[in-house]
Amino acid sequence: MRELKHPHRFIIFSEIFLFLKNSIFPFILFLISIGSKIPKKYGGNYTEIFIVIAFLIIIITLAILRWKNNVYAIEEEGIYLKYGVFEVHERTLPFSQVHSADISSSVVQRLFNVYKLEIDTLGGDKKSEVSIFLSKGEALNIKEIIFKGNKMEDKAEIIEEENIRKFTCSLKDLFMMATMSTSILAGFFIIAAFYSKIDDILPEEFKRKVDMSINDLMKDVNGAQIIKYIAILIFSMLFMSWIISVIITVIKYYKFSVIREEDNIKLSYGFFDKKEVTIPVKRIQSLTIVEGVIKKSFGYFSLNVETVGYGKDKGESTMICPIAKRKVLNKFFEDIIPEMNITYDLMKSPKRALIGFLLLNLLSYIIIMILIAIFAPYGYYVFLLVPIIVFWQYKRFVDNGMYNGEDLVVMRYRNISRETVIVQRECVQSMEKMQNIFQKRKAISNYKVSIAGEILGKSYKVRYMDENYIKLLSEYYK
Amino acid sequence: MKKISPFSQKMWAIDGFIATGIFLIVAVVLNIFLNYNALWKYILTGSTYGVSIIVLIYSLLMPKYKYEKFRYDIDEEKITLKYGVFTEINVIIPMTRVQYVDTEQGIIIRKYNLINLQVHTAGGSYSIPFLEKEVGSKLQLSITKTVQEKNI
Repeated sequence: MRELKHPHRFIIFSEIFLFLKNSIFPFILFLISIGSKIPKKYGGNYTEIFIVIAFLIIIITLAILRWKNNVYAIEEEGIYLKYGVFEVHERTLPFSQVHSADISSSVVQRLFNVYKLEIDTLGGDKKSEVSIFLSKGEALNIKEIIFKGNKMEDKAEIIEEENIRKFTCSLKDLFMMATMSTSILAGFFIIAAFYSKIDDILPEEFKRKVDMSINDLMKDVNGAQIIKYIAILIFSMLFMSWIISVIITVIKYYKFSVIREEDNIKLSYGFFDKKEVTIPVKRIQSLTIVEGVIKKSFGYFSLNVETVGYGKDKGESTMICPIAKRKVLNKFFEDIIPEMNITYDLMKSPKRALIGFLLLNLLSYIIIMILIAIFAPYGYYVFLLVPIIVFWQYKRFVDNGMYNGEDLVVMRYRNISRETVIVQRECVQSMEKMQNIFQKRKAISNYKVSIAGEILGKSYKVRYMDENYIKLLSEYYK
Repeated sequence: MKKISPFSQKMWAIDGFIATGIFLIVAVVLNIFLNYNALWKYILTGSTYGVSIIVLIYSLLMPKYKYEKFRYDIDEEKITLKYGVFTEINVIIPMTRVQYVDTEQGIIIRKYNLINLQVHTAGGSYSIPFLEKEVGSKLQLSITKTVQEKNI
C-alpha cells in the first residue's frame, strides 16, 4: 500500500496568509456595505466582529482541511499526489517524464526550515505540475530519487567535431521580402488614414481658403486630369509605404544569419539592436514551410520552427529563415537541419471529398453574402465574388496533403499562404481522427496532430482526407 | 474497446439539467427585469428560453448515444479513445508521450462512486469521464507504470 505523507504544516499558514492578502479589500468593502444595514435588535453593533470571526474560522478550517487532504507518496513508478476538499484530485507523475525539479525557499520559509519543491514536465501549463512544501531533507531526498531513476540525457550527448555550417540572407533577398510583404498595403492604409486625419486637424479658416483656391484651379481642369491626379497620388502613397517597408525590414533582419553548431541553431540579425537567438535542435517540435501567395509566385519561401519550453521558459515560434529561393532552401535543409531533410510523397484529398469540402466552406460565405445583399445598398453585387471564392476554396482543397512516414509526419494545408508542416514522430503527442456523419458516408475524415506547446498545445489539422489513413497510424503504435 | 460506466448517462443528464436550470434562471430574471419596449429585448428573452429548452431536450436524449459511442482502450503502446455522436473523434496517444495522469472526483459523482480520468501530454490533455472508481484508480496506476517502464 501507499505510504502517504502530508506536506509541511507551513502550507496552512502560507495559505491563510495568501487568502487574506488577496481578499482583504473586497472583504472590507463588504463589511462597510453590510454593517449599517442590520438593526440593533439582532446585535447590529457586533455584526462586524461576528462576521470577521466567522470569516476567519472558515478560512482556517478550510486551510487545515486542505492540508489534511493533501497527501503525497513516492513510489517506484512515480510521484503520487492527492489534493482538494470538495473536488478530490489525484495525480500520478512518472519519474521518467520529469524535466526539472527545483528547490526554493524564501526568507520566511527558511525560518521554518521549509523548502518548496517544484517539479516540471515538458511543455504544458506554466504552473509547475507538482509543487509541495517540504522540510529540507525530504525535498533533497525526493530530488535524488527522481534523478536516480531518470538517466540524465545530457551525459549521453556526443560532441561532434566542429563543423560550422552557415546560411545568410543577402540584402537583395531582404529587399524582395519587403517588396512582397503585405505590410506595404498596411502602410498604404496607414498613410491614407493619416491623410484623412489631416482634414480634422486643420483649422476651418485655412480649409475654406484652400477650398476657394482649389475651386479656382478646378475651373479649367477636366475629368481626365482629376483621374490622373488621383492615380499619381495613390502611386506616390504606395511608393512611400514601399520605402518605409523596405527600411523597416532591412533594419529588422539586417545581416540575418543562421549557424548550425552541434546541437544548436544560432540566429543573429538586426541593424540597431542585434538579436541573438539560440535554439537547441532537441527542442524543435515542428518545422513549417510557409509559401505566401505573392512570395510563392516569385519562388520564395520562409521557414518557421516551433520550439517547446519547460517550466518558466516559454516555448515559441521562431522564424529561422525569413526568405529564400527553393534552391537555397534545399541547401538550407542539408546544412542547418539535416534531421528534417526528407523526401516524401504527399497523399492528397480524394476527389469524392471535393463537394463536401466546398459546401462546408462556402456555407458561411454564402450566409454572409445573403445578409450583405439584403441589408447593404447595392449589396447584391457581392455575388460577383462567388467565382473567386469558389476558385480559392478549390485551391485550398487541391493543396491539402498528408504524409505519414516511419519517422516523420508531414501535413500540408492552405489558409491564405500554403503551409507545409514537418513533425518528427517523436514529437507527436497525440493524433486525432474526426469524422462527422456526412463524411462518414463517403469514408472521409479530418486529422489532427498535436505537438507540445503552451497550455492547450499546438495542433495542426488537415481536413477531408481518406478515412483509411488512420489505420496506418495505429499500426505504427502496435 | 471498453465502455465507461453506464451511470455516465445519468451524470450527463444531471449536468444538462443544471445547465438548463441556469439558463432558465437567467431567462426568468430577464423576463422580470426588462421592460418590454424594444424588439431586441423580446428576442433576447425568447432565445434564452429557447436555449434552455434545447439544452433540456439535449440532456434528455443525448446521454444514451453519448454513452454508446464512448469507447476507450489502453495497451502497452498507446491509449485509444473513440467518442462523439455527430462528429466521430478517434484519438491515439502514444504511451511514451503521456506525462502524468490525474483523477478527479466532484461532489455529485462521488455519490455514484465514479471518477474522471485525465491523461496529460505536453500537447494538451484528454479525459476519460465517469469510470468506476476501482477501474479508474487501477488504470491510473497501470498507465503510470507503463510510462515509467517505457521511458527507461
